[in-house]
Parts: sequence; C-alpha cells; structure tokens
Amino acid sequence: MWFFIGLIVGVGLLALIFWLRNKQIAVKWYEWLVGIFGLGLLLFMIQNIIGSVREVEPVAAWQFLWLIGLPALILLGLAWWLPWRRYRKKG
Amino acid sequence: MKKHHSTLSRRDFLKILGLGSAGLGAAAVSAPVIHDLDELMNLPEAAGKKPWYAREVDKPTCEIDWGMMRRFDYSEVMWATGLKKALGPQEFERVFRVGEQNRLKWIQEEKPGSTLKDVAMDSSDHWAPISFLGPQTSPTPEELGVPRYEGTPEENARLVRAFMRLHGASHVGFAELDAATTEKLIYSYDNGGPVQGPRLDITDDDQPEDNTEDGYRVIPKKARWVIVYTMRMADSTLERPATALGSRSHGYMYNLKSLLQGQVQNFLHTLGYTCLGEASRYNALGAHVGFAILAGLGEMSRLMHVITPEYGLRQRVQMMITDLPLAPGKPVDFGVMNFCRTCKKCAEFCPPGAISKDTEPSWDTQGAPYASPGVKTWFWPQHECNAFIRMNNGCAICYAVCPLSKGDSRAMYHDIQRWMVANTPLFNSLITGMHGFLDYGWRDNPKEIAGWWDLDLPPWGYVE
Repeated sequence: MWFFIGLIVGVGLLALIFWLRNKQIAVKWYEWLVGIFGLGLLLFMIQNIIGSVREVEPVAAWQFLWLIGLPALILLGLAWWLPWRRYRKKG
Repeated sequence: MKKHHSTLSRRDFLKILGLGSAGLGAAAVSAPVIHDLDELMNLPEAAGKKPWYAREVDKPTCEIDWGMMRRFDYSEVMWATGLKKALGPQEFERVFRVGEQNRLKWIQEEKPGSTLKDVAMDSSDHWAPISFLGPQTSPTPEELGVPRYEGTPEENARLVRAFMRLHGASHVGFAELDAATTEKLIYSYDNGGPVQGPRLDITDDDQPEDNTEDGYRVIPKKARWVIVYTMRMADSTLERPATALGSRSHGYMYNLKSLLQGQVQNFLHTLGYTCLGEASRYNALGAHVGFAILAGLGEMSRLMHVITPEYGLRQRVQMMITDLPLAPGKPVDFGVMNFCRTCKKCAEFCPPGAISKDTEPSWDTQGAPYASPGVKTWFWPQHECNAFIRMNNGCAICYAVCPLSKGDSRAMYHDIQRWMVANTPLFNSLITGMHGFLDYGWRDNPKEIAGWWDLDLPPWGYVE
C-alpha cells in the first residue's frame, strides 16, 4: 500500500512542480517547508487511521482523523494559499 | 552461513524433533521450513533484538538489595496459601462462595462476558503433562550414538530462542544463577498448590532429582542458566476484564506453557542437556518477574509485574533452568519506572483499591507475608486483589488500563509514544491522557463485551 501512496505522492509532486512552472508561480522556501510538513502529517494520519482500524480501535481512528488531519489540512492550505495570493495580486 | 560447533548431525536432531518439515500448532501458519540447527539459529527470531527505543543498561531500573533478599517459600504467595492466611478461614470460604454464586447469577442474567458461552470458554483449559524433570520422551545423544551438542553460550542462546519462538514464546531471555545474588530468586519451597510444595535444594549433585516421597527437588549447581520466557496474551480478551471472557486471556497461555515447557525439555534432552521445568501449571521454581527483568525482557512496574517494550503487561512469564550454557541478557531501560511514578492509572481503576498510589517505590513490604523483601518497588496488599478476582471470577483491569500495555500496535503513534516514554518523563501525563482520549484499554460497555464473539480475529488473537 505504501508503494502506491509513495507513487501517488511522487507523481502528484511532479505534477505540482510542472504546473507551478507553467503558471510561473513562485513558491518561497518556507512555503515548501510548511507544505512538506503538512503532507507529512497527512501521511502520518493515514498510517495511524489504517493502523487503528487493523487494531480494531475505531474511536482512535476517528480521533486521529481530526487530531492530525485538521493541522495537516491547515498547513497544506496555508502552503497553497500564500503563493496563490501572491500570484493573484501580481496578476 | 555462520558455522556452529555441534558434533551431532543437526539434520538428525530436527528429524527427531519433527521440525524438518513443519512447525507446530499456530507457528506452522507462518513458520519457515528449517533443515538444520544452523538455519534455526540464524532465524531473525533467534537474535532477541530489542525495540529501538529500549536501551540496555548495566543495572535494572528498580533497585535490588541482594543482601536483604532471602529465598522465598512459594506457598506464602497469594495463589497458594497466602490468601487464606491473609483473610482467615471464614472470610476465605465466603470469598469463594460469593464467586460461585456470582458465576451462576451472571450466567442466568446473561451478563455480557459472563454468559454460559463465556464461562465455557474460561473453563476450556486443557493441559499437557508437566513436571520438574520433563517428559524425557525424546532420545538422548547416547541413544542416538553421537556426542552431545556443543556450542558457545551465544550460539546456545540463539538456538534456544529460535526454538522457543517457533513454538509460541513471545520473548525468550536468559539469566545466570549466582549464589550471592540471582539464586535468591529461586524459591526455597516450590509450588505445592494449597499446601507447601517440595523443598528446592541447590546442591553439588550431578543429577537433578524430584523426590516426591520425601518432599524435595534437587537443582544441581551445574544447572546455572535460567530460561525466562513470555507468552503474549490477546488484547481483545484482556480489554474485557473482570469477566469470564477476559479471564481466558491468562488461561490459554498457561495451557500453551504446559505444552511448550515439555517441548523445550525434550529438545534439550536430545541435545544432551538437563532442563528443569515448573512442576505446576501456573508459576513455580522462582521469581519470574525478577528473572525477566535481569534477562532484559522488561522493567518492573507499579503492579510488581514486568512491563515489556512490545506488549506492556500483556504476557505471562515463565521459566526453566538448564545446564546448557546460555549467554545472559542485560537489563533494559525504556522509561517504565519513571512512567509508573506519575501515571497511577492502574491504581485509580483498581476496584478494591489494592494497588499502591504512592509516587515513590519503597523497600517496605508492609509486613505482608506473601511479599519478598530486597526490591524497591510498590508493594501492595495483594490479598485484596486476589479476593476480588475470586469473587468476580477474574479481573486484570490493571492490565487493560495501563497506557504502556498495547499488544496490537499497528499505528505509528505507539512507537512515538514509546520513544517519548523512553527518553523523557516530560510527556508522561500527556501520554496517560491520550490513552483515554484514544479510547484504548478497558472495554466496559456491555455491547462491546458481548461483541467480542463477532470479532474476526487472527490466530491467537494477535493483530501482527
């Protein structure tokens, strides 16, 4: 499963880089950092949810969903919104 | 492949022991096909590798005063005559009577976890014959016409660990007996059930002896190595404690012990060595927890039970003694003693309030005749615990609520938690809180208890 998740993330990142270049959107280093951290949290959340389901711990799975998923979404949203806002202003 | 120094054909050994073509029981589900002892020794399971967050240390994390310690009479413990002594004969009778009444009442009421099918499961014990000297039904090297197996202590440790892991042991560790220290963990009198058991003499005799007529057993001084091992109990039953269903967690592992012990005794018999087992279905020979800590299987806990890095409290610990030289393990530190100082969750949830709530461990056994001095730990009135167990046909709520006890740990969170506990006490309160927040541990909801029968469980109930 992690092979496919790795594949999807890799292809997704490549597509994102090409798209950013195509649109000429500049992403600052700290925005990449926030994005990578958010992506890491998202993957951590997925692992914990799958692990909890296999452990027959449904409550833990739900708690991990919002406890880790919410900050992950906020960070990913921030990493998206900051360069997008700059691009819109420029544009 | 690394070569070892056995002079007897390993392939022959394996053929004799029936290992050449298949493993046994549940182990056979995933057991590799093993052709010789070299392959057995080189199994990954043979290394006994500790989890990455557990550090080996020179001394156990609980203080031990060997000068204070004396060999202890097993008959004093709670599971032998200790309960009757502590409660008095009348209260003792009452406790058991209440237990029987409750069992009948709960079957009739169909109380989840204590219905007829749960009681049937708890009553399903089946035992292999068990003895001090072992079955001795496998041939000796003399009978095979070959010299006995020889190996270094390190090779022997790998060999025994690999064999035992294949046959169902979860952890296998080794400790060496020493007259001034570890010999004191061997009981002065063995388990004799409701009466005082045979005296355990450690002598210079060449051969062991089990003299039931005169009431003594001889452990030759040449048998200096203790094999201490565990058998993991399933989370799903342990988390439904104080029920007949929950009690089965312990029973099925004691059943396995009765089979495994004889297998190990026969294995070492054919290798040309003595292996002395526990002549009791439950605990005997010596202080299992003490040996487990010295061998590096885990740390002392507030419950005076061993907590292992992998499963916490959720295993049964057993032991044997052999004259096959075995490289002893080193104690481990992964933060348990510090965690137990502040957590106290087991003490808060203990229905009779038996577990100590003191922050610091103590040398004081509080005058309990069933407690052996010489270890700085959290001594507690175990007769209150045992009386509750008898009246309720089981308990082990402490095993269910302990935040360090989680056998099924597929989520990465558990590794992070264990790393934090091992490295800093700063997050201990947070970890205790998270345990409740994530709804780990005790399933006390009647629907969840009854729902156990609908779980689609893997073999042995382990989610690996």
